[in-house]
Amino acid sequence: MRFTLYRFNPETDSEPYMKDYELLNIEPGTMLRDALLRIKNEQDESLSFRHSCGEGVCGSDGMNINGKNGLACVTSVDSLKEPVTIRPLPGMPVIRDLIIDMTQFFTQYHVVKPWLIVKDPIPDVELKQTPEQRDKLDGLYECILCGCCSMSCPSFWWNPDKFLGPAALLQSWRFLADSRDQATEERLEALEGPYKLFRCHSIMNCVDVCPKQLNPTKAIGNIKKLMLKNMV
Amino acid sequence: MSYQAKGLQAWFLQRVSAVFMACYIIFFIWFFLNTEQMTYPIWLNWFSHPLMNIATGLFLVQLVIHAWVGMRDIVLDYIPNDAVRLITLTCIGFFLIASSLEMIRILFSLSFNV
Repeated sequence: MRFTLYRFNPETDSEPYMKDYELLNIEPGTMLRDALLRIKNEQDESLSFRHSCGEGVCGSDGMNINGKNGLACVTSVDSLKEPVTIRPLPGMPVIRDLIIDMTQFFTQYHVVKPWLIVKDPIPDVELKQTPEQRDKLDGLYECILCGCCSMSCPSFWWNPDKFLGPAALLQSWRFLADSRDQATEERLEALEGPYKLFRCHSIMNCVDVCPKQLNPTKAIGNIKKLMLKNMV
Repeated sequence: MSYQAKGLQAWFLQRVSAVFMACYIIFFIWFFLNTEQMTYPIWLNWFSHPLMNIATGLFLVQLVIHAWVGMRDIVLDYIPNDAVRLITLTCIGFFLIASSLEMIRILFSLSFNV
């Protein structure tokens, strides 16, 4: 099986380049991460990429696979067209090979204050929710912050410092939708202006690539609806 | 219609104006197709009717708002340089204000002609 990988080492290369590799005897059902590990172990140990859990939970190995962002560890090589072209997630600075600098992504994540804000005195027992209230968090809390969605969003490419991006906005809605959170007003106010939320034009690239099948576009729509409700 | 701090309003106005303009355009085409021979007196009479005159005035206001929000979106998305961004937005603003003044002049001249 043929692979074309994006390579860039800032210490030795002046420009990034694509390098071809060939792997023989790939077992059916092999995941892309394992194929990359084989290339690293058998052919070129200088190849660098992030990975950890190997089962789509940690969100480390987000990369651009044949033009579409995804997690290498949950992408079977059987489903990929040859040559498999792997590039780093687009839009962020490359540190080396497939490793990108995600600082901007996490800065925007912190902006939405991804934690519960409770103003009442904290009770001695846990803050309770009804099963219905808890159900509202399904499809939101599962996000693993791999960055595939934000790095597939043109609005995030153009304005990464001003537009929060689908991942951060999904988390914003996760806390707005939480019955225990008491900072709805402040959260909504912080999202006002033409950039932070409203650079989203609902093109749904985020939904298309999410390896956890989440729907940031719907979450963004819900935030807009809540803003509208609070305005009247 | 300021460029800062108008995320929700701009988004909302864009949608409301789109719905209004869609209704106006459908009515406009329907009336046009249902008039056997569109002559200048019929046209003038139609546009001089207070309801049509006001609806057209509203249409033009909504068109300007819709165009402003849409053009602003394009500029914010595709022009990264702050200075170029500001100059482009100013030019678009001037153009839209000039167009609306011209449209108001035409509408008023229709109202006073009859």
